[in-house]
Amino acid sequence: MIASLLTLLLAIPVQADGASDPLTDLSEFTERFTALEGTHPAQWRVVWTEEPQTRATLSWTTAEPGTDHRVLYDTRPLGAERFEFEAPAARSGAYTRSDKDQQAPTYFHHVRLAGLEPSTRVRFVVESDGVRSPELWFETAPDDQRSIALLVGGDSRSGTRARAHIHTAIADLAEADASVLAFSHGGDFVMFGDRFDNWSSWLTHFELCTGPSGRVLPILPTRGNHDWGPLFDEVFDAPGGAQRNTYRTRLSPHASLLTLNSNISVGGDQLLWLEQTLEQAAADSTFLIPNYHRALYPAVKLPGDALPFWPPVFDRFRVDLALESDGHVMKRTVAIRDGEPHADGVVYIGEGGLGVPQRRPLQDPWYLAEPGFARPAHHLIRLDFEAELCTVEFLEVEIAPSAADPIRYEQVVSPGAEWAWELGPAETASWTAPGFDDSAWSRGPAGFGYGDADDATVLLEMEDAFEELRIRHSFEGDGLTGGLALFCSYDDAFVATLNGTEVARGGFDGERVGSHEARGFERFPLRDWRDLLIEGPDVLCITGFNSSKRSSDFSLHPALCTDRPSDAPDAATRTVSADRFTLSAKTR
Amino acid sequence: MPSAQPVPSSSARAVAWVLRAGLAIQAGALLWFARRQGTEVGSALFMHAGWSETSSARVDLGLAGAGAAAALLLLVTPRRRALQLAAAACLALVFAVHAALRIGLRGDAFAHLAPAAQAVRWLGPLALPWLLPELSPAQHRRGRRLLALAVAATFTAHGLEALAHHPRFCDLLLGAARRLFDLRLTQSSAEAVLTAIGVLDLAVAAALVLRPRPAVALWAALWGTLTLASRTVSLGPDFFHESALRSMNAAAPLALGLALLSSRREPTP
Repeated sequence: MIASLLTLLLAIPVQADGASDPLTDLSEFTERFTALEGTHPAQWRVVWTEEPQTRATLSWTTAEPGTDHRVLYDTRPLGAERFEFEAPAARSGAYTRSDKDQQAPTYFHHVRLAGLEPSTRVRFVVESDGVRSPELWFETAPDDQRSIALLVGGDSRSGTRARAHIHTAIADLAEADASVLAFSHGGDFVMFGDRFDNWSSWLTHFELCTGPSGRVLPILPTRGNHDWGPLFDEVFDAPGGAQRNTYRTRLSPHASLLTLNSNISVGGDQLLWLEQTLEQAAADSTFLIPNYHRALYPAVKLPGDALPFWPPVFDRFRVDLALESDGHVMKRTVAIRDGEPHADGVVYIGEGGLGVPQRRPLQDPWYLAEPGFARPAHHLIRLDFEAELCTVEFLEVEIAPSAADPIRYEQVVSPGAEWAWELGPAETASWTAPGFDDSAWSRGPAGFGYGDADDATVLLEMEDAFEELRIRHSFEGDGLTGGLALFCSYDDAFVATLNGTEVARGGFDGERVGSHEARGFERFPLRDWRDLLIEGPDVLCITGFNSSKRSSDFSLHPALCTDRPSDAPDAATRTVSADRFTLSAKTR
Repeated sequence: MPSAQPVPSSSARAVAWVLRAGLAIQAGALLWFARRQGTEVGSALFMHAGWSETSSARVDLGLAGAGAAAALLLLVTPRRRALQLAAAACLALVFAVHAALRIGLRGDAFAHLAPAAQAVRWLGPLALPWLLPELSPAQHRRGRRLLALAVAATFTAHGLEALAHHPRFCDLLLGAARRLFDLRLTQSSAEAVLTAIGVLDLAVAAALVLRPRPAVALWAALWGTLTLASRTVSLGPDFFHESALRSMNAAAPLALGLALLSSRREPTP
């Protein structure tokens, strides 16, 4: 165990962006990403901090430094790629690279637009040395009482596949509803904040937030504990001041969002700023909403250091909602005032589900009692402001199955098919032969295993007693055409045979069982499988190996599929309303 | 030529028991963390290595449990040096893994200093087998050197963090001033105090390495006690476990101070 931990310690930088991991399979998105080449603008974003009615920062990345960077823009529909105005880059430079960076030197460009009109569509292209982006647009924030919506969420530092799907969900929500104004990210954008390869991956995936019409939803960035170092300020043009990163965004007369930084001193200058800014915001905004990374009423971890400092100020200024991240669950607390449930208190929501693997929440905290809740779910939160009401809606994002998921293919042996199974080593080598009598074996649906709460057939008797599980399943191979592949999620190893001949293996070199965690289905194409088919039922046999009898878990989840797509699933991402409540404006 | 005499056993016993108590409290706190929210070990396995949350939590709890069992062994077998050595090595390994993973995870400011900042937690246990009462003065000298090195490393790291105005240290000062004295310090005042603390910490570290004196070690123990207590004082009783996890910040320099005091009574060769 110690040895594996030390191995892990050395492997961490490599594991963070494991490309072969089914959880990071982005094959359905790659065509939509803009390649970083020459001075071709890529990774564009619109950043809002203060005065979103009249100001915005338009930023992008190029692979080469270039010399002439500008934004061409207009608020009138003059026709495709015709713009009256232009603004030069206020700041360009090379992204800071760490010695572990796997990214070549790359360059940021920021154009700061000012003097815009509220509630106005701004059409623009970004241009570097004459090379332009596609035509894009965003809408400035309103300065009147019209209805608006804000999308919020946090924690996208890993789970890149889920992250990409959530970004497409953001684009879909923005395209479908013009009242959606912006997206507030609660921090922990990336795993290692000092590595631009991490940031570059996130920025490229963020392009998926651009809808088919070219709408770019402005982002309000929050610094998380993993976003340390200068790159956060280089990516977002130092929102709220370099390293400080605190700012108030008055979205409209309805609401002010106060972005705080839980990585700097929370009880010093930032506390003073919070008090002064809440006083100003209380005078011109109906709803007051602080947003910060480290949760103060957490559903997973211990409270952040700001607990003695910020909530009393929230209570004093009668804050409505507080947005939190960091825990990797979806949560809502009861209304809290003076550290106790109170009908007129602050509701703390969020905790981060923009891609990171979700955790099991704590069961006992008083502040998660109904109507509070906490559960693992990739999610966004939508805040709708209308008249004197704020509606909070939790949108669970269902991640579409990956290319390595058998649900996307015509299934010959389904993931939940019934198999004959037996524990322990085989008494005879003939057990993989088609005619072998397995009538005395146990039977159960796949997948098989113990210790990880995802098995259809739970093999508790295997723990501490057996290192091997053998399973058999008969199927009709007649009429199969095209390719055939075994899909297997396994821990720690397996060897598969078709009618007695080995056709696939994973985690086993013939002598030694490695250590392999089940991370979803992996695909193993079967070669020359037609030559192995017989008259009558064919039999697929799999031996699953555990690295040790004392291992805490075991998984063997097989399926057999052709390479033809199935009818049922598609690659679309769906959002499902998981919870909803409405707050009324408080009297201040 | 006079032969080396055993040091007075009551002092030596006190040194060993202070260390055992500190190690037991920190091991208990680690186990509490592992059960309550998980530690760096669980995070590394779940977030970085892609293990299931259940498996990650089991390994996390298992490792913390091994540390707690080792601490218990230290308490119940005080006279069996082989077992004391094995248990101390186990504790050292458990806490070294946690300190090293802090660098790998890099989710905190100054995470790169974690192995030095936490030296009393993982290097401190290794001093215990050399400070057992029945050992010779020469062995005790080795134990004192190791303990001095651990305390000095911790003070050096904390001194550097204080000089860089670690935001958490700043908030501990601000929070303690508010809770204890109802005084609202400005951040710049807190940072000025941190600068002075940083200089003093580095001076203490240098003194412990170059010329360890009981007074310096006892000052370090007093300061270690204040800093670990500041977690609970500033942030509130909910943060008691944060103080408990840092028990060796006080126990290690206290044991060193007592050991240095008793060494004065050792016969010179």
